[in-house]
Amino acid sequence: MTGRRGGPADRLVRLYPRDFRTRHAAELSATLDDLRRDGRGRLRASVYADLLRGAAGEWLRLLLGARPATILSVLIAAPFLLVLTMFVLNYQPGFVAGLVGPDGTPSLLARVVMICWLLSLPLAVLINAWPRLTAARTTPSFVPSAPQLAIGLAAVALPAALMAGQVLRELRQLSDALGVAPLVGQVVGVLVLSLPSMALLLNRAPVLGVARLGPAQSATLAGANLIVGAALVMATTMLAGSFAAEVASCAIVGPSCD
Amino acid sequence: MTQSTPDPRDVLPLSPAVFGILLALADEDLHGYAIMQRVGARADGSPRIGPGTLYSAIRRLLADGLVEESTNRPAAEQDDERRRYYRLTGFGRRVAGAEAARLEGLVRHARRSRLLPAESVAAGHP
Repeated sequence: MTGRRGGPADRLVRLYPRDFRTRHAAELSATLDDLRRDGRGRLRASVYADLLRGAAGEWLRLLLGARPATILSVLIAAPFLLVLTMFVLNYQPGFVAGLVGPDGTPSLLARVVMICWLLSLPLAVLINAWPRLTAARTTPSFVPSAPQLAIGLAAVALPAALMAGQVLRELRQLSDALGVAPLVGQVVGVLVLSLPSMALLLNRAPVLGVARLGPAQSATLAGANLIVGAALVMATTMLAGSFAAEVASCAIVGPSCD
Repeated sequence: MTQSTPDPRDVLPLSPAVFGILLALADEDLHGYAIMQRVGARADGSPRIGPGTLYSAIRRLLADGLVEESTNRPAAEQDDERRRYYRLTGFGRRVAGAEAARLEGLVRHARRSRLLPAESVAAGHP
């Protein structure tokens, strides 16, 4: 098989993701030249196969993150994607009846689910902050790639925005019933404003500290970080969506303006 | 904030390709093709890892802090500026040692199970 410079093997190098090429394309090209020189101008078929397999592996790594945290993020996003699909298709399966009462208001189960969703936010921050607060042996070090971040944000933000109005109404009814509307409104406002920046700091500090971890440690804490990220994006988008959708003319929590 | 030292056992077991690369770098700093040749020489004389496998492994090893780029380069007339040279980090050396110890333990177990001859027999002693 011919292996001239600039030939098929070098074209296969272009199949690698850009971040890989930026780092390794030149030296990979030099190595191919060395292989050609020792192979009297030819490359073995196994070299082509190896390059193809390597390119596929690098793309897979990029798309899937090559860590268990990716599976976790899919599991987090899946219920919201399911809700979004049902909404788009105007499909109402049987179990939805259990979430909505006869008068169209959310059932007790639905209220519990929504409140758990809201509680996941401080819980997730606590999980993320725990190693720093306790000087634990392990430190979060997961930094998602740009495609991972974009896919994750899109998967979580869209359904959250669609459900935002409903959740806000729940909050408002709850706070009205408890008679603590102004206080709840202020707490929610402070959380929304402060948590994203806190999360950013918590997630970036290890990177700035150049933490070096083995894959096992990274994978464990990557899961916690993804929960934090998903919860923050859900909560922030939900509240921002509510604000844009209906709160423009009302206070965040105030007298009912339905 | 305390910066703890990672445990080499956390990254075990290594794949044969990765262990071969770490072994190749144990003696001296090498560029990619030299690593391939060194790995091949330790096996059956032909390169046992291809260039795609090699650089994917190097990317992971760099990310995990097992190898780092070396600034030690040969004279310009003997060098190709496209090449990068790599060397083991302290952590990478400890990981390679831990993997060697793990494999040694497996071989000892295989001897006890009589899948391999006893060490004295293998060494030619009566």
